[in-house]
Amino acid sequence: MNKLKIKKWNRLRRVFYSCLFVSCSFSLFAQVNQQVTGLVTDENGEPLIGVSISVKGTSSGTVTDTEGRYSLATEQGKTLLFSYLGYAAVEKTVDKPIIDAVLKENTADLGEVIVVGYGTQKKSDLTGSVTSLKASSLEKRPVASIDALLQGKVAGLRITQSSGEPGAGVSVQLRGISSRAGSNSPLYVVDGFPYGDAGNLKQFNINDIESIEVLKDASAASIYGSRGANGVILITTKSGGIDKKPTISASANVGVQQINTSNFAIIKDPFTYALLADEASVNDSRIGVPKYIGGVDSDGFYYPSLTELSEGTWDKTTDWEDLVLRSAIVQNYNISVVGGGKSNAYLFSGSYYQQEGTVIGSGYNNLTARLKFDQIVSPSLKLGSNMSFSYVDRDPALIGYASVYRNPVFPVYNDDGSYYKENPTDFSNPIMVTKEVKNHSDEYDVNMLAYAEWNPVKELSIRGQSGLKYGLSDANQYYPRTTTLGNIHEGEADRNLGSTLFILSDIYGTYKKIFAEVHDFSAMLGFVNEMTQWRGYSMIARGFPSDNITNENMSMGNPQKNEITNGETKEMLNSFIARINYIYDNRYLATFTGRYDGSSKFGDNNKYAFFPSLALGWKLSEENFLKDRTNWLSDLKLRASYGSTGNQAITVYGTMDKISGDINDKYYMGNTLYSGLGITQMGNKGLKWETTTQANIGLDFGVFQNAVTLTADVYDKKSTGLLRQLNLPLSGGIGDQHSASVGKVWINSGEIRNKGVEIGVNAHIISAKDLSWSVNLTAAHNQSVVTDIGEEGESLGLLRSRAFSDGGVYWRNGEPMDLIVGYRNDGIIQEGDVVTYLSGDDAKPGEFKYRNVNDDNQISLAEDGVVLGNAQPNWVGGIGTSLVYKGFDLDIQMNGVTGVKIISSQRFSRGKQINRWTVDNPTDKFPSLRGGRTLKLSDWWIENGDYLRISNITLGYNFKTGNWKDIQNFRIYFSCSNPYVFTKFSGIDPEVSIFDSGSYPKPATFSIGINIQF
Amino acid sequence: MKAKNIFNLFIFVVILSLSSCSLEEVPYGFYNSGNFFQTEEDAIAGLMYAYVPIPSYRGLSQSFLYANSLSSEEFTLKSDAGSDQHDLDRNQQDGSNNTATRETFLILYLVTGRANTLIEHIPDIKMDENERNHMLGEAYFLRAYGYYNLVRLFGKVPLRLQTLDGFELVGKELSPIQEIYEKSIIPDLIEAENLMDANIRRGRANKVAAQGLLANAYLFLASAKESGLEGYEFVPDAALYYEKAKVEAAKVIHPETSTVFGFDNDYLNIFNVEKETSPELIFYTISSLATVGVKNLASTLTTPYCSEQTFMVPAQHGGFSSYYGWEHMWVEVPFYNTFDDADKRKKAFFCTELTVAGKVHTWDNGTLYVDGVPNSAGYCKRPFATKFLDSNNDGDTGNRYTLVRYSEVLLTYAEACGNSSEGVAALNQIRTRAGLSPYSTSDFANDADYRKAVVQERAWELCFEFQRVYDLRRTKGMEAMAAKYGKTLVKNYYFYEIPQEEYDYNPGLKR
Repeated sequence: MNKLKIKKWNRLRRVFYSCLFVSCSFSLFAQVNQQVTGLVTDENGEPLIGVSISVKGTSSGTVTDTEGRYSLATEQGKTLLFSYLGYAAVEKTVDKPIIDAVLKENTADLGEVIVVGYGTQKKSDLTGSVTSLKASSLEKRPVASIDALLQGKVAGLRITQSSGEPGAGVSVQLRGISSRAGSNSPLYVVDGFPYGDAGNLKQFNINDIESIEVLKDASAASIYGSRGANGVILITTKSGGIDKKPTISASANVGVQQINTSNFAIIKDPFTYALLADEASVNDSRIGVPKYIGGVDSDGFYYPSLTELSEGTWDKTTDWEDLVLRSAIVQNYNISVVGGGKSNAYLFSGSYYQQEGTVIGSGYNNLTARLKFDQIVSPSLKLGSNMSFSYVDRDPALIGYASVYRNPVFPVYNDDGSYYKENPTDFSNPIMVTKEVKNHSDEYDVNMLAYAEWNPVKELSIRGQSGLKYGLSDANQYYPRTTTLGNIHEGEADRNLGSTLFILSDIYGTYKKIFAEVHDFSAMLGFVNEMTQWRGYSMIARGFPSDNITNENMSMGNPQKNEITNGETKEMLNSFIARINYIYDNRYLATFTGRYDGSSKFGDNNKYAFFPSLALGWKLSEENFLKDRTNWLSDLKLRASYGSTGNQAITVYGTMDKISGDINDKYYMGNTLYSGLGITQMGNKGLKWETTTQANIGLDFGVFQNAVTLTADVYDKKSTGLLRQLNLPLSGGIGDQHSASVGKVWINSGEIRNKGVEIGVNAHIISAKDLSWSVNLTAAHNQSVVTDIGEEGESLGLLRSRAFSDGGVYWRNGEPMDLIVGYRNDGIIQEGDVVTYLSGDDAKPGEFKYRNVNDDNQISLAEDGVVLGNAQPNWVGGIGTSLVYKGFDLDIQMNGVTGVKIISSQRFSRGKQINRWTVDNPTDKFPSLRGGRTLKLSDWWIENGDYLRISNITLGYNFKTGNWKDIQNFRIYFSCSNPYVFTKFSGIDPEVSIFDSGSYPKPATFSIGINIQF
Repeated sequence: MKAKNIFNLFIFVVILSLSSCSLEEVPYGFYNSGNFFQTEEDAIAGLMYAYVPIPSYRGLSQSFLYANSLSSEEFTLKSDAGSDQHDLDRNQQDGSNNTATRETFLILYLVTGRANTLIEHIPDIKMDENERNHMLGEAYFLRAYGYYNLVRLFGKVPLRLQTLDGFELVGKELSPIQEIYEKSIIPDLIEAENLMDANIRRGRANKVAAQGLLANAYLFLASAKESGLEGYEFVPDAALYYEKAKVEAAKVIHPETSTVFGFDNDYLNIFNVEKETSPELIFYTISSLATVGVKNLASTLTTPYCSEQTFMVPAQHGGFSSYYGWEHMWVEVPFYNTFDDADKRKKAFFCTELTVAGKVHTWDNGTLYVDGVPNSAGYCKRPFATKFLDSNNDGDTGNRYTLVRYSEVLLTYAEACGNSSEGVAALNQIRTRAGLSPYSTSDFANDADYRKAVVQERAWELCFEFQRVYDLRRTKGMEAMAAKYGKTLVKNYYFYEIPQEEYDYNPGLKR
């Protein structure tokens, strides 16, 4: 291809993009006073094709031709506005017949166009509710995952990270919970490729992100049909550019993670520990005697006496915190090269992330690479590919941080060097577990996509793409004889392989044309096919001669004890997609979107469903009555949408009754083990989609050239026919004897309604040469109401903690979701109190005094249980601020929730037992210590879970690189993640989901890093 | 590239996409009702599936074992056992939080549910008629076995006699005890008796097993009526049912055509779980260390702990080496003490001596000895039950659970007969084997007096064989037992409360 042709292509391309992105209007019938002509070029003198020229205050205008020239009839004294995507607009007064213009490239303006799923749209033309984030606003601070990046940045997106384990997933919810059994996480789509549920996207380099769009309402998300019910998060990666000099960016970050244990309440003093343990034993009617008596217990284990401990003659004590927790290193390196030749563009990037866990034995490494390449084959055809690879190498946490609470009286090792056990079945010595157990997993992910884009005529573009994503996970475990499993089985080796193949093929055409100057019309029609195939293999071998080889040679185990299982599922989705956009006079906007979706997972008569949506917009700021009167108003738009999306998140084969059997279902035919087979699932041929219909009204408001913008949305979202598994009764005769689990059937039943308000504010308060300051704020209120539980009737217990014998999280018809139901607590039973409705040990002084609401002779949840609170937050939000002064930049991010209740299961953990009730300390605040106490959930355990977290503070300095050779940009920064949480919660971290059951704590990370650009 | 070529490329892509578009779902790795229960192999697979819950982890290996033994004087527990198990031990079961009774309830319904499916499908399968009849008989037997245990443990329960294959069947109310006997247990066992032959099929039921179980059921009805057990008022006449029990048991004791089953004088032969040759074993289920699913935990739960990990049992128990257990369930020493020193069963059913690393650990009347020297750190902390001991225990243990034993039927016969020469003769057969002096009819004032002795004999002879709790319940003997052995009685000790989960998910049930 010769140079001329490339130039011609470039021009054509520009024409094409100008049609795509720029809506313009011109008139053939304007009043003719003067003919104006001219040439529009860029700063290098290259003609620009398709620049729109409009006459301000009128509806007339034109565009430049392939030579960059234009011709226009207008009146003397009018103002011409030259605008072109990616360039700053220029105004010229009509004072001569030839008016040339030079447009300057304006990268900031690119933000005007956003990705909407199977296409792009000008942000100002959007009718749906979409939050768009650009890389430039995100990349200053180092984060470990895309979820952490989004936390607090998008109104309505609630991200809860309850575990601090390296590589742990998070919970991501958009606009509340709308499904019971299906996913409640938005769909991640990376460069047009559905990646799956948000919350655990590891195979991805954050530095590759160019922009993130969050599609929130039905109008925006219904193009993803059956996968869009929880919203869609579109991630677009960076690309090279035609004729772009190679730019090399590199960054490095090294940090240290620290756990603040000041509120852990660890008892390190062995005497106190033993004293409390003895008190619990003595008060335990099953035991009744102390353990620390300076003698052996019934299992033959020696327990020192309290005197030995207090006098210090017992010297085998251990500080577990010191052994179990550590300062852990986290490091992250990235490099990327972007650029392009005359007819191609490329990006290459690579990253390496390494994180040690703050609890010994855990760690996470991630290596990624991406190659993107686009080639212009002919003026009308472009081909490209996008390939990425990732490798995750993970040591999952074998022990929880709870190991810091292990009995400090006893040592790590026996005198002979073997691991100390507290009793015959104690296999939880954390040093033993982390040293002896092998637990390692590798995950490999490859993603390849090829596309072709064809523009046969100016108005029409057809894009087809096909790609695959293949993921392989390989988990390795070996449990030696020092562990529970290994002890039972004389060593157990596990190997689990899982592979997921996803193949995507889609093709869609987009037609755009402006009719009669004011009717801006575009239509998209396409077809999508997705196939997902999962295969899993699990091998277990047991009975090894020794523990030395671990699982490296599983044939060394006893073949009689081998266990091999496998599985495979395949699902298919066929979808027809369509979208029509219509804009009248750049003021009135309408979008129709529809997806006709078919899934293999549903019954024969319910395979297909249609998900339509309609949205309308009105750009008030373009109306003359506002435009002429205000110069401060830059944007005012009202939006309204209504439509439906679906959720198909049931397991494959859910409609079928299932006859199967597993390794545990074998019995004897004579001397031969014969596989048993029978009904394991009740079928439901009528199973269909779960449908969410959503109405959304929104407002976009911007003043002073959009220096301050506000976006507000209210929505009402109703999910019906909730897909879920209904438990069959125990007596149904369908279930699994080995796990004692009861059979289930998939049904559509129940209704949930989510209503809410979202507000997002961006303010560039100061934008001076040396000083700029901006603030962004998001706040969202959502209320999920269970309008109909369905089959189970009026009330349904959803969650119970093992810690409590009754009470838990309930759904009730017509009530907000996730009600915490339990007893009222009236303090502690004191000496002399007569409590007739409690019996046995529960009625003794020092016990919880539950309120007997109906004043009968007993307490029961049905009669005395009350709603103690709601686990759903009232408001979720975030605040971010960015300050730049000369070379310095300071970025602070905070996020928080209000109005949330937590079941604080750790409220009477050992460290907090010092304040216990005793005869000498008849407190009303804490109960006595008694082993074997059956706890009922009461308001004593409920705590306010409001918090405001400083998620990150980053201070950077950009060196003046003007005189530096090769280096364009050099920044050094100090960053601090999760340094402090403002909260009244007494537990370790209020960012938990309902139960504070003691998860892996989140560390504070202090890091330094550099960014260099060559 | 020419436009035409480009166009062709797009057509190609479209065809490629459309070609892989069928939404038909093809099952992978499982059958469904459309393609199963057609061949003999399918029938066998279905039958295996119906048997396997009984000896499984949650079945007799653990939960079912707790549910029908802890409440009696046979077992108590170590202090840190689960609170649900302690609740059973203290006779204060609670339907809302008792895992053991929940799992037992589920397991038994898995047996009846799977049997229902077999009863529906086996008659249509083309295969050898005799074998088909026998398998159908087994299905009836299993359904009766399930309901007979359910009705004795829980009383009124939902009676389901067909496969749950539609939403309209999910809700099911509680059936009166009478209905459960009249619609399932008795007709099913009669059907099973008629359909099955008396041949031994390893670990499976047969005609004699059906007769033995039916005799036991009649005896239960008779004595429950006599004792006034709640819910059994429907039984017209205790004497009538004693007679029915006698007739049915007689089929086993005095068969018209001789069977392979009979009396065995060698306790070790009967109770060595690795042996299946004793003629006493009429029906037993097998679990083996070779497999995961039917692996036995009962042995681990009842076997002593020692940190050296293996111990030797004395020669009288087989003299083998065994892997250590969890010493989770403890034999109640007062119960052990009720055995007469002359009773051979005291030595046969209980072990009080272990050899660990060459040292002999002994328990003697509460004192521990190591190599004859009193030592509180000795391992044999109490007598332990040899009926669960597995000579091949190497960590994973196998076991078999004897569910219908000749001696049990013999004692049923003895009890059904009342104080008569034939009854006392049967009872004396058991006593003589134990080395105890025989009874004569004149030793007893009346039938009730005599039957008390038989029930006590059952307590000794059939200890740890899942009979004692049922015997205590049918004779309303819980109070006397509790008083005698110092067990507590709080609630739900004649019928366990149905698990709360059943109320949660069975729309047919109302509190």
